[in-house]
Amino acid sequence: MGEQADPPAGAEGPATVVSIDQAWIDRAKAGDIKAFEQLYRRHVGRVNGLCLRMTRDQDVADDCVQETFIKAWRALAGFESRASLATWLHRIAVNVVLERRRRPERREESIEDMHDLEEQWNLDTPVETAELEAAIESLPSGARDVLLLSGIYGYDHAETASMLGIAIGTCKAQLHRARALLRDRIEHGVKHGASGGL
Amino acid sequence: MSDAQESGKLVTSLRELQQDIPPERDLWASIEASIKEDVARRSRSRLPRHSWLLPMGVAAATSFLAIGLWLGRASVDSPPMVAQQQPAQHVEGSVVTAVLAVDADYSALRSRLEGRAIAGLANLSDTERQQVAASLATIQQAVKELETALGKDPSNALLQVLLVQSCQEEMRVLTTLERMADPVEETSL
Repeated sequence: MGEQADPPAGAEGPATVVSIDQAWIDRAKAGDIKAFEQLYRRHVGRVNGLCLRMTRDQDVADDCVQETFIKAWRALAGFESRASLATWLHRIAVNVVLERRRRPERREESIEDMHDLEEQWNLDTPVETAELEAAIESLPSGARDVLLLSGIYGYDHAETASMLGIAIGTCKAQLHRARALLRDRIEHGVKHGASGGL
Repeated sequence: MSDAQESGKLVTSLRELQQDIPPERDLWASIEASIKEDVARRSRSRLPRHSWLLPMGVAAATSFLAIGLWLGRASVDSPPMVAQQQPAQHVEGSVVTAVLAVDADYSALRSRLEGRAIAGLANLSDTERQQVAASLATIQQAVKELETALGKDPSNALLQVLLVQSCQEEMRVLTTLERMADPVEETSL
């Protein structure tokens, strides 16, 4: 039998991901920063995806991603191995973004910023996807958060509600509202409905 | 298309959106810097309250070694010792620390020895004199710091032992220097 090869990128099943993560987590818990870097490299895309969609600003998202991983490092000792690291990181990221939203120095989003955002999504993505992303961005923040976690990242109502610190009923209502608004925005175009922000 | 079909299509479209969006720039460098700073800050805060004991102990040990070597050489050159008095041996037990600080006899004896030790230093070469004076100063500084620390933590056994050892070492050096200053008087004691 030949040497066992590493699974190709993108071909890892959930069990493989968890077991590979576990080795790095154990080493990182022992203070190995290089092991933590491996965890960062494996999960940064997913964390950035959520932060970027929640904040709608790449610079703010960058800050949130950094803060998420720094907080994760500090709290790693308390991370339970049976949980999913990806979910745990998302939970931290959501908290970071929500904390940031509550800060008083929050700036108002300008029309120019919105154009920048649309350009970001238009770079490599198909037109339909770009339209959908733009429609999601235009949603009010409460509805958007629920839609992102539930619709894109697949968390159930209980997980989504727990991450956002809202009741499950509120979560369901927000999701219903988000889907209705999204359909409307896609049908009638995004421009008329942009509201809310980081 | 019915509402249910539209809703289903929307859910599918959402699930097909890219979950991973790599950041435009590598954020690891600043994360790593923050983590390293955090680690350094935590290790600093984990240092024990008496962290100064280690460097002080090393300094004292170095001094003891230097003086020990010098004493070894001095004893070869000096006349045989007769019934040498070891004042530090008067100190016994853990209560010694408190006694040492207040005992008038000890203080008087130490002052007398110190005065004569200065004369003994004059008999040494410049290099030896500098080495012994520096080592003696280190020991005396250690004694002061230990007394201060014991004032704050009187029941600390380690501090007590270190103080007794330091005082004994100081007395040994002072006695030897005194002998070198006036060997005749020493033997007549």
